[in-house]
Amino acid sequence: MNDKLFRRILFILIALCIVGTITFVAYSLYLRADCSIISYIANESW
Amino acid sequence: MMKIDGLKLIRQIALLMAVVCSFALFDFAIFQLFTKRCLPSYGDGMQAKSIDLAEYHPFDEDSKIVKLKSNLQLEGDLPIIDGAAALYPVFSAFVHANYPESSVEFDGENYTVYSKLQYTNTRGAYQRIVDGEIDIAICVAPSDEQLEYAKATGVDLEFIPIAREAFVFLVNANNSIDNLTTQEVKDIYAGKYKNWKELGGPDRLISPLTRNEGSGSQSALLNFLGDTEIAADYDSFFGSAIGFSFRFYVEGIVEDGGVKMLSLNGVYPSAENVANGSYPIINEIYAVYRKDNPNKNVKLLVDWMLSEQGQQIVEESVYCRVK
Repeated sequence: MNDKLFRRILFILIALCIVGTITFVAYSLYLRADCSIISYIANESW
Repeated sequence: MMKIDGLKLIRQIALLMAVVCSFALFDFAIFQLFTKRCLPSYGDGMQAKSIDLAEYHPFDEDSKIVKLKSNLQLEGDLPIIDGAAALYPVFSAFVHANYPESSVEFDGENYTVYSKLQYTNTRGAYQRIVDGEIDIAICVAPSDEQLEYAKATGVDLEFIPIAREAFVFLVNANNSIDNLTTQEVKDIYAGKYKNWKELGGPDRLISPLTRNEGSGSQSALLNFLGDTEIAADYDSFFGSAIGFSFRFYVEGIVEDGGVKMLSLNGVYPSAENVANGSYPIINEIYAVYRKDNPNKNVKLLVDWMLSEQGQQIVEESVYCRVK
């Protein structure tokens, strides 16, 4: 793979990952806004 | 030359995979630390409305409410009744006891505007009682903001205690802490204790939770804390939480084995300890109505709530009677 093509693929991949992570964080915050205290405590990892 | 190209390709693919893995690891960490805790443990109805209305409909045969027919049987202008999630089984039972079945309309998700039984939870009920959209709200004491709204609107509200209930603190069922003093709880919210270890528990940060202003349990927390200022909204992602609710909501409605109620000052919040007054935080539950409400059925119904039949419903709904 030549360098130019590689950089393009890398750029697109990073962009997709950033969009995916932002979406995931936004979804988590949305869940948090709707989450009950009891659920939040019960789902703690131990 | 071919060998160099092959190595370069492997390095490039490794770099791409490293990028993907880094993001995946980051997302996984967020899921473990935060998202997982926010996933609903109950059905959609419960999650959206804090209670599954369908389980406590006043006129369904398999409803979980206490079914008792009263001697009152209201006629004419039936009061519109609304209230808190934790008290919905009680006021639904009041409606069952006194209203004709035709007075309640449910569209599958919500009560329609024509229904005499409504459910908008504490914040909605206080707003609507002041605005004159409902006649009776069954709730715990209002927040300062809700009282100020009534005052600013020029509305005088009557608060009649009809039941009592324990305000409880909750931790994860795996937390070794079973008992705190009321002062320790205040100190947790004041930020004096930061780690459960300081209270004889596990070596984990304490994450004291709060709710939205105006919700019934948040108002109860603020009443309990009194002059104690909540240190900050440090809703730690890493800590082990302490939260709060009402006893029957935890024990009888949500029934989530992942949490446990704490004893306070060595007294467990059992129905018996609420009834005998030994549990230290007991909240009054009120029937709230506007003093200028001309509907005579409002007073009749509230008086009936305090009668033997009304108090029997309160008691059989596993709340504590006031009479």
